[in-house]
Amino acid sequence: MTGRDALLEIFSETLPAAGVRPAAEQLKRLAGEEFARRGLATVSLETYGTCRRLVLYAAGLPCGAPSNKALAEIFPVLLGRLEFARTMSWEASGFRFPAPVRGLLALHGERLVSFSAAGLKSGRVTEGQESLGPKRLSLPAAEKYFKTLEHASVLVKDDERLAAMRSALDSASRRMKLGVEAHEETLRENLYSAEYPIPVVSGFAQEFLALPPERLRSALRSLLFFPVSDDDGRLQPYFAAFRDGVSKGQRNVEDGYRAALESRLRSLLS
Amino acid sequence: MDFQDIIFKLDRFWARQGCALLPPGAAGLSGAVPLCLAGAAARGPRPDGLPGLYRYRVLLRPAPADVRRLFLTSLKETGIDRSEHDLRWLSAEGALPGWQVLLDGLPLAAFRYLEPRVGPGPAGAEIEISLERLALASQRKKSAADLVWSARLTYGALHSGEVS
Repeated sequence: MTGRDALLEIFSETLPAAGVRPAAEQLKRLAGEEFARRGLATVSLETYGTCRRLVLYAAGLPCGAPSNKALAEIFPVLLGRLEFARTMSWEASGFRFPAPVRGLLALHGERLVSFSAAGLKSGRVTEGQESLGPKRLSLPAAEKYFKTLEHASVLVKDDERLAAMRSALDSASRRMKLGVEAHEETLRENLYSAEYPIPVVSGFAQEFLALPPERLRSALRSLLFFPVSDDDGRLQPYFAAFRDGVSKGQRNVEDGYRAALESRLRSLLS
Repeated sequence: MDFQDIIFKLDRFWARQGCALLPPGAAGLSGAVPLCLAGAAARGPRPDGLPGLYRYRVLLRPAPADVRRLFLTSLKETGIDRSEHDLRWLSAEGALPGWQVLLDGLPLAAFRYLEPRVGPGPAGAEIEISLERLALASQRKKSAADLVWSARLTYGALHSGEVS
């Protein structure tokens, strides 16, 4: 019997960037436990996270009512078992999460997995990239999830988002004929700050190159920016960064990022 | 859009949401009833991480589920095209639940949820916007002094150089 994929998306307001990856890992571990407890076999079980959503994707679950029923029991249990360092409550049931949960998408193949949690009923609807304006996406089936979201400018899979960011920084390096320093930790932070990272390249005033290079680097990284250096590792008055969503109005973003950086650097110079 | 038109637009927007527009310093408000208050005010004495001398404040209790969207729509009313700018929600350190909202990397607003003091219940929301930052983006100006306050006056002329 061919199985169908099962999907749970917890759609929330912006999650603290540092907490997303641990939460996705936790969700994977808990889902493994709960699926096993109910003898629910899957071909694979993966979890993903962005700044707005935690996603559980279980491929190849047997079709039929027993699976659907088990999922309807498992999903709210998972929500209840997730633990975070800091949480808030915002609705009458007292459910706690790092930010208000605004949607629960739960499907098994074409079938809705019906349950209630956090004052919400699960459904087949989610939202795309916020900077494109409010856009409701209705999913006909779990298997359409990643493509539908990608069309709405959300790269749900962490590794795809990371690969897109690396390749954007590589092209920026080639265009500038300089090296963008793709600092791992800064990449990770950016990874959980944007659902569809769009590269931005900007510069800063030459005078700030008088700062000790490591202080300059750490100032850039504190704003999630990437330093740019030449072949000999000498810093150049440029930086790369990511914004979320669209590449319209790049000039506004370049100027704003530059102003934010220069104000930080000015305080270091004085 | 003039600085004062931005305030008018925000007032009208939040009034349409059923908010009471209160003059700065309004006191003696009941703590228990559902509230929606909005209005422009001078910056308070406590540092809030936002630039400029003026704030637009909104208090919603309880906060509707679409309060974040209302905030974003209110920005649109003041001439900010979301797709032309980067808005980033930076989780406030230590003081969850809340965010500092950056517009093109620069602080624009503080957005906080207010949890009920006792037991589970709907949270309120408090939004504080730097009017200067909003006007700089709306008027595409680099310096607050150059902002057009009204048809005849600039921000710089009104504040005789006292601009942060």
